[in-house]
Amino acid sequence: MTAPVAEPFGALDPFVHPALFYRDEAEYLDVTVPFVREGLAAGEPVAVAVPGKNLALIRDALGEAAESVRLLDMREAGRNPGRIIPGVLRAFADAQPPGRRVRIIGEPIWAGRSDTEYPACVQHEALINAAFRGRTATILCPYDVEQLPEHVLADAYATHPTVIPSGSRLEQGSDAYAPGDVVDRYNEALPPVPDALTFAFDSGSLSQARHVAVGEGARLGLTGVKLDDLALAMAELTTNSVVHGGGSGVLRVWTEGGYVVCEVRDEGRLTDPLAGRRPVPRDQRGGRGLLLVNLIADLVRVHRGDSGTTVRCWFTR
Amino acid sequence: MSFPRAGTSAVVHKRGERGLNTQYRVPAAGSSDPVPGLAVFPLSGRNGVRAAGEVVLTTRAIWEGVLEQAVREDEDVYYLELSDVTFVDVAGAGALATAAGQLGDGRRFVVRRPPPALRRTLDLLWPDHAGIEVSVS
Repeated sequence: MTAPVAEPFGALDPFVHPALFYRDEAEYLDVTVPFVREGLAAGEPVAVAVPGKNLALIRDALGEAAESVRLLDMREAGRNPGRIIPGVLRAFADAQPPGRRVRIIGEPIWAGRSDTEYPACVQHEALINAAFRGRTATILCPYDVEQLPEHVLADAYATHPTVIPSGSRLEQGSDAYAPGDVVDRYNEALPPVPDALTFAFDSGSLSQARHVAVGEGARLGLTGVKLDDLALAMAELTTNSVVHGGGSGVLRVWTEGGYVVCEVRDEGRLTDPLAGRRPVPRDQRGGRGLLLVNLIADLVRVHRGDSGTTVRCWFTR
Repeated sequence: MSFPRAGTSAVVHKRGERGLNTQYRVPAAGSSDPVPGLAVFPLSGRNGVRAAGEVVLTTRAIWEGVLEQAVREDEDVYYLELSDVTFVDVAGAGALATAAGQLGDGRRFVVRRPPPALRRTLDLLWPDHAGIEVSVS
């Protein structure tokens, strides 16, 4: 069992994490471009991970300076919100020399994120505070106030200690800041699935469980790397159940739109909210299973219940 | 730390008999299928081993034993012939990365024809492949 993180949402300083509310391209560029230029002028490493359309806007506005910035399309790099902290934000920040402030623009929530994705998105925003507290970094998170629904904007006040209102360039403190509450509130039970292949496993049937899941994934249309990824994810989740989750579990596989979805449910309690989101030091043995699942799946949702844990993974067909 | 004994016997599968993309049977209740194992054979004329089976929780101890032995040897190259290994989980890949980190200067593992899962995991979690040369031929 993984030990809980002590006060994961304590004081953030020197970490800075403002939400930027923007109404149009002009408001977007009015804050993001100076943010990048100031960082470059100070010799700070700068990364921009936003949806492709906005990435092009920033790149064009920066001109030649864009060559000094790490540019990532968040629709690809951050398709699974659980991948963003280890695979994008910390991957960039941890690779920089110590001492300098790292600047990142991260836009993980855009119009078009589905209702299934959104709880993972907002939990990710909340967990950034736990993953970066005490680190010398600034992560600016743009929110499109024209396109995003009201509840998403309300949540941004809870996941960010400061907000830059639309049309402004100045941060204001958010009285609603409560990232731990957001993580709990969006710890939603996952809707039951009527027609899924179901397989109960224990230590004696771990390999069978993986073969059954892979067979069903293939039958439902997964091929190549995606099928290999399903095998890896199922191996990690079922092994976790056997080692940490009470010794057994139940695996399910089904389709949902363009995805093959697989789920592992066990009686373990996953208490660490950052499990699978921390980069693992090179010399640490083990502890990379959930991290790998986050890196390979197109979406991961977790429900931590009183009587057990469910991890559900989506793979594009 | 102790490991389950089940599955640690040598179960050798013929090449092509099984594979991630081909094997699919829902086991009947009470099925007595053998738990896939991991068999290890010394290579003739080369420093290293050929392995057959899967590297998973139940066979991890065997895999780690092979790697610890490899670290103790003093040849520059240690060959791991994995064409008959159908799957390696993340802990198995991690054990390889750890062992590779313990090799002295100039020493390395040459991993021949690993299963896709091992290449994928190494690429994502140990992208520099330090001390590990992957050969697909």
